[in-house]
Formats: sequence, structure tokens, C-alpha cells
Amino acid sequence: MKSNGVEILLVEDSEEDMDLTLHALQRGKVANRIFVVRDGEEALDFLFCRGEYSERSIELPPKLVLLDLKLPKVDGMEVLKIIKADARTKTIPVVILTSSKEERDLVSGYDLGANSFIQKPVDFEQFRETIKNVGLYWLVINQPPVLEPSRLIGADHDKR
Amino acid sequence: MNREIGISARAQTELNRLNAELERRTKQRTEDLETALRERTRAQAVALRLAAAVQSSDDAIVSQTLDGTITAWNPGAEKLFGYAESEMLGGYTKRLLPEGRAAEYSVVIDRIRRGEHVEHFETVRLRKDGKQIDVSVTMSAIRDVGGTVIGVSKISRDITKRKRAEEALRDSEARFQTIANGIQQLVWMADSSGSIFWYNQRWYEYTGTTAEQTDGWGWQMVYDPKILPAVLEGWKTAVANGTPFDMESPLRGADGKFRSFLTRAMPLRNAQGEVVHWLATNTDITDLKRAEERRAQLAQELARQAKELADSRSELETQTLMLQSVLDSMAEGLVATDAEGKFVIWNPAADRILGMASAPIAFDLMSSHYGLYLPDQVTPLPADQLPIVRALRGEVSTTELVVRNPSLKDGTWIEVSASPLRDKAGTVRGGVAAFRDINDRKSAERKIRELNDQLELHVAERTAQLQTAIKELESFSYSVSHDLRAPLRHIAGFSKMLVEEYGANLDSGAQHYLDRIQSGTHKMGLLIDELLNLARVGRHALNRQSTALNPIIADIISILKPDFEDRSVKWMIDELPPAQCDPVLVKQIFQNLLANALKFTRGCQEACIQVSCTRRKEDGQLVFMVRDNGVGFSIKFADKLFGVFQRLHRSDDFEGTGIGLATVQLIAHKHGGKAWAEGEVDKGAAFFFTLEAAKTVEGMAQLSAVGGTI
Repeated sequence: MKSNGVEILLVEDSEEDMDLTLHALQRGKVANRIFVVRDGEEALDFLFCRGEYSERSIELPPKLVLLDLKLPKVDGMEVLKIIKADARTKTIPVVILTSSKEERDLVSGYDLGANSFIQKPVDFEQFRETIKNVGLYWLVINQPPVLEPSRLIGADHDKR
Repeated sequence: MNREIGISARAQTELNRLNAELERRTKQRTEDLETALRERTRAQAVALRLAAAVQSSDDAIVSQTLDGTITAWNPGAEKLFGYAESEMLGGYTKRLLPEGRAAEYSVVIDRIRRGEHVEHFETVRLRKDGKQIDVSVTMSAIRDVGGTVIGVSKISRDITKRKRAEEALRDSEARFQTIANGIQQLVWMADSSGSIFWYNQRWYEYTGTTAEQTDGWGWQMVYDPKILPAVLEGWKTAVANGTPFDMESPLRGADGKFRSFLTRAMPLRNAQGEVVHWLATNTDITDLKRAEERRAQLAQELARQAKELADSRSELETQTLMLQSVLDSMAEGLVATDAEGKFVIWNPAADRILGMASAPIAFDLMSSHYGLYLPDQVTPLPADQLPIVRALRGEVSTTELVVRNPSLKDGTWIEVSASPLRDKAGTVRGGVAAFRDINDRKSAERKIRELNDQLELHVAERTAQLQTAIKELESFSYSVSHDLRAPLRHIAGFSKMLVEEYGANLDSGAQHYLDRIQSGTHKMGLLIDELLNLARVGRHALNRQSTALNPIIADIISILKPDFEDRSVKWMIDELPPAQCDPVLVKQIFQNLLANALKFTRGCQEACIQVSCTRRKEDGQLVFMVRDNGVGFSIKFADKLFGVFQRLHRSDDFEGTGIGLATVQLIAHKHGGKAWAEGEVDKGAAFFFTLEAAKTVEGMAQLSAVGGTI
């Protein structure tokens, strides 16, 4: 099942940004299993294993969600809120990717429990570096919380 | 026979010669004896005369041997000392010496022994009756035929009386001095020529002079030179005529101030009527004179007041008439009561405004009688809140009331001003109340209130519109942030990927164009970031607090480090005082100014960047400065520096967006301060800013300058 065993879920509506982000992640050799969804609703369906993703197991969440804020249907902030409000998903690290440095985004993003907040730099070199670092930190360096350890580790490793 | 005859003849001759010799001798002898007899007789006569003189002398004449044994004692001695001759002859002189005089006696005797003559030696002797007497003794030595001193002859005279007279004189003199020094007057004495030879102590105390200064004619120094000639003339005339001198004149005291004195000098005459001395007094009459002046003033004042009283009485009558006509013609109602609350004034306007005439009613009933209500128009005015009652309590009041009674059915608004009437001592003697119809004002007020309400409504509407506009602007900058940056990032990203992945296949022209695309997107990215930053600063709520600036600057320098690692930069950061400012915004100021300073010193051998702060003299404000030794700028563009997108350098020379200094100015303005710059081409630039509103003189000057341009 291609939607299981995902390491990074990228939520991005802009095709260009998607391409650039994927490029950066691949070039940085951060992860191979990246799944892209193009709007907020799809992201929620994926995470909560609904609709198109109903065969997915909620016990195999992605290790990291890279979330754009400006999304069609359900916007990024709403998606964040829902992820952080549900006990099954709230431990998934969510890194917000945005063009905006606006403070209100910063403040409410952290309020809702975003784990990190990254402004996409105009400079591609910088962007690449940032994406690489974020991926490395959340996938490799950061230890996932000890909450429900048996569920987080398991089949995921086997499928890698 | 012949021989016999011869012998006999010779014998006869011899005999004759012998006889003759005898005769001569006898005669001689007789003459001698007669002379001796005569001399003795004369000596006896002298001795007798002397003895008589000694016997009859009033002085005590006593002889004694050197060891003190008395050998002669005349009646004078008996009279003086009280001892008879029989008692004293053979006795000792020491009986006459009072206790303590022995030493003095032996000194004197020693002088006699040496052959000296002692004259008028004054001492004291003891009489037989035990009384001591003052004596003057003259002593001389008694010598034997060989000239050896063998005794003393003493003549003693009783000088008790003289002594007493002297003492009496001394006592009298002392008494005079005591009196003269004790009295309040200045006293002096002059000789017959008018030359002063004595002053009492008071004179010296008052004038502060010394005897050397004022003796004789020296006293002139205490007179005012202007009046001195008159004084001198008067005094000389008095002396010349022997007539009393009497004059009032000021004398200078030790403190340099003049006081008025009455000088009186009287001549003292001897038995012959000649002037011997002048005795004079100076009496201080300053207080007396003042009292007299005061009395004269009081009399004058009294006369003036009497006249004023008479004048004011007629004036009062005139005024009363005037007051009456004023009261009658006033548009305002005016009433006044005495301390008991009895109305003493009630003018026609009061009748008109209240719609009723004055009536002798108690305060308790006044509200209901005249129909007085509180501004709610229904509560009758309580008696203790009647303006006139409050005035009688000593209160000053201004009250709005409604009057509604049968004459004023629609009711009338009045404003009453009341105050107590006090006498000079401040005691309330009555009360006065003035009142006027304020119906017009009330309706005007109502209108103003309505207009105000409308205005507030307008303001609220306009505020809401403005807030909407601000929101729109905010969402615009949000959009700019999101929507302009995203395509830019794409252009940058894909062109980069193009270079990386297909660069090898492209010719140099294509490579060059791709470079241009890259640098263009980079610049535009910076521009958008800074514009957003400026917008954010504008929205930022000022959070003023005491802020230590040095740590902020150190922080910025460490952030900027990568920009100057390979350059020589000399930082001169003064110890800055804490400032009352928003730390986030002020950090932005320093960041922009220091980054600028680094940028524009890029070409310098050694960049020198200085940060300092001075306290401006005119208003005590802190003025911060960031100075560099870079390329500087022409002073004629100094004003343009702070405008958005204003740049003075080609971007090929110095990159930048032209927004940094606009941000600095905006932050200074947000704090109430301002930013300005000084510089010269190639001589460096200095940027200044303040973080408080301009105060005092400069503030006023700025305000008036602004007013002038409008």
C-alpha cells in the first residue's frame, strides 16, 4: 500500500513549491518515502484514513508532516488544529512551511501546537538547506515521544 | 756807789718794761674776756630765742638719739601725740609707731645716719589715746663738734585734716565719675577755652571712639560734615560769651548710624565769676523725636480719616442711589439677606424671573411658595439646598433650578450664583443670590448634545471605516508576503535547477541570462522582505520600557559578523545610558544603522564605526549617534535619505532597497522622536535619532514652524 509506511507527508497546493520541496528533500537525501497531498481536506483524509485513504492504518502515521498554510478547501491552520486536537495524531511533528513571516501566523501557529515554523526563503540554495535540515532534525535527530511506543515502531520498520 | 747806781737803773728799766708788758697783756686779756662774754651773751640770747620758738611751735619738735631715745619733747609734741614731756624724755620713739611701720622707720633712720635730710615724709603715728594720725615729718641729723651724727631732730606736722580733705575730694571725684558714667546721657567737660578734656564712658560706647580721637577738638569727627560748621560756630560763640550752649544735632554712633541728640553745655564759674570749666550732656532724643513725628502723623491721619469719613458719607449716599438704579435696571434677579435671613434686597428682575414678588416667608416654605425644583424637574428643592441658605452657611454655589408656579406654568430654567457676604473679619453677615433665565442656554445645550451624539456616531462610523481600511492594508501586505514571494521563489528555484542540471548544455549567453534572473529574484526578495518589515513596524504597538542598549548593540554586531570578518573594522561603542524605548524597535534602528555603516565603509582601509549618546542641553533629551568614516553623502540630499525607496548610491556600488532608513525614521517617530543625518561626500556620515517627544523651546519652535507652513 503506497500510502502506508510514509515518512513525510507534504501538504502543498502549489505545484511549483511541491516540485521544489521534493527536489530539495531528495537532493538532501532526507527521505525516500514522501507522500504529497494537494489540499487540506485530502491531508485530513490521509491522516485520519478516510475516503480515498480509508484502507490506511491510523496506527502507521507519517513521521513528519510538512504543512503549507494557504491551502484550498481546509486551510493549513485548520488542518493543524485538527491534527493537534486528536489524541491519535497529536504526537505527529508538524512543521509549517510558509512564504509569510507575518507575526499573526507565527503566534497562532505555535498556539495550535506547530512543532516548527519555516519561512520558505526566496533564495533556492537557502531553501534547499532549510528543508534538508528540517527533515534531518525531525526524522533522525528528534526522538519521538514515548507515548504508545509499540504502536509507533513496528510494521513501519519492516516496510522500509 | 756808781755801780749800784747802774744796777738800780737797769733794774728800773726792766721793771718798767715788765710793767708795760703786763699792762698790755692784761688789756689783751680783758678784751678777750669781754669779747667772749659778749659772744656768750649773744649765744645765750639765740638759745633762748630758739628755745622759745621750740616751746611755742604748733609742730611737734622732738630730738632723739640714733637708737631712738627721746632727748627733747616740746609742747607741740605733747599736743600732737598726747604724751607729756616727762612721760617721753628718755623713752623710745617706737611707742609712736603703729603696727607695721617699723620697717619704714628704720629705713628713714638709716638715711639720717648716712647724713641725708628727709623732708615732708608722710606717714602715720599712734597717739597716746590709740588713734592714728596722719603726719608729715621733716628730719635732720644732729652732729657733735667733730661732725659725727649722734641724733635726729624731727619736726612732725598733723596732716590728718589735709588728708581728709584730699580723700573727700577724691570721693567726690569718684562719685561724679560714677554718676557721669552711669547715666544714659553722653557727658563731657571742657576747659575755659572750650577744649574738651574729659568724656564719660557712655560717650566712648556710643561713638565707638577713643580718648585720643575725640579729646580737645577731635569730637568733630562724629558730626555730619554738613552740619558741623553750625555746631562749631554755636559752641565757639557760647565759649566766647560764657553763655549756655543748647543745640539739637545728629551724632554718628559706633554702628555708623546717626541718632538725634540734644547737646547742653553749662559754664562752671569760680568765686570770682570766671568760667573755669564747661560741663555738658548729649541726650539721645531720637526716640523722642520719632514719637513726636508719630504723634504728628497720627494727628494728620486722624484729620484725613475724618475728612474721608465725611466724604465717604456723601459718596455712600450717591452710591446707594446708584446701586438702587442698577438693581432696578438689572436683567438678572438679585436678592440679598442679612445674617438672620431677612431679605434686604429684592430687585424687580427677581419678581419677573420668579414670576412672584418677594414675600416674608420662612426658608422652609420658600420652595413650595415659588415652585423651585431640582434639575430633574419634579423633586422640590430641599430648604437646606436653597442657594441663599447655603450662602448663609458660608458656601459659594452655582446651581441650576427649575421654577414652575401658577405664573410660570411651563417652567423656567434658572441658574443661581450665591455667595456669603462677609465683614472684614470674615464673619458671615448675610447672603446674596443672583439668578438668570437660562432657557435659551438649556435649549442650546440640548442642541449641542444632539449634535455631539451625531458627531460621535459619525466618528464611530469613520473609525470603523478606517479600521476596515487598515485591515485591508494588513491583508494586502499579507498577500504581498505570500503571493508575491511564492512566484519569485519558483523563478529562483527553477532557474537554479536549470543551471545545475542543464548548465553544461547551455552556452555562455544563456548562462548569463540565467544569472540575471537569479540576481533579479534575489533583489526583489529583499525588497519584499523590507517592505513587509516596514509595514510590521508601523503596526507594532509601542512597548516602552527602560532598555539597556549596549547588550542590544553587541548582539547586532555578532549577527553582522559574517559581513566584516575579512575586513578591518574598528568599533567604538560608548557606554550608553538606559533609554525609555521599545527594545524590539530600537534593535531594528541599530541594526539598520550599523549595517549601513558597515556597507558604506566597505572601501575604507580601516572602517571606523562609532556609537555614542549625548544629552542635548536645550531639553535634556538623549541624542544617539552612529557615525562612520565611509563614503558619506552630499548634505543637500540629507532630507531624502529617510524617504522610502530613496537611494543616493548606485545599486551597482552599494546594494540596498532604500527602505532601511525609512524604517529608522518610522521607529523614531513612533517613539515621538526623530532621525536625521549629517555627512559629506567621502568624509563619512553620522546618523542621529531621539526617542522622546521634543520638549520645551525646541518643541515650541517646531510646533510654530509647522503652524507657519500650514
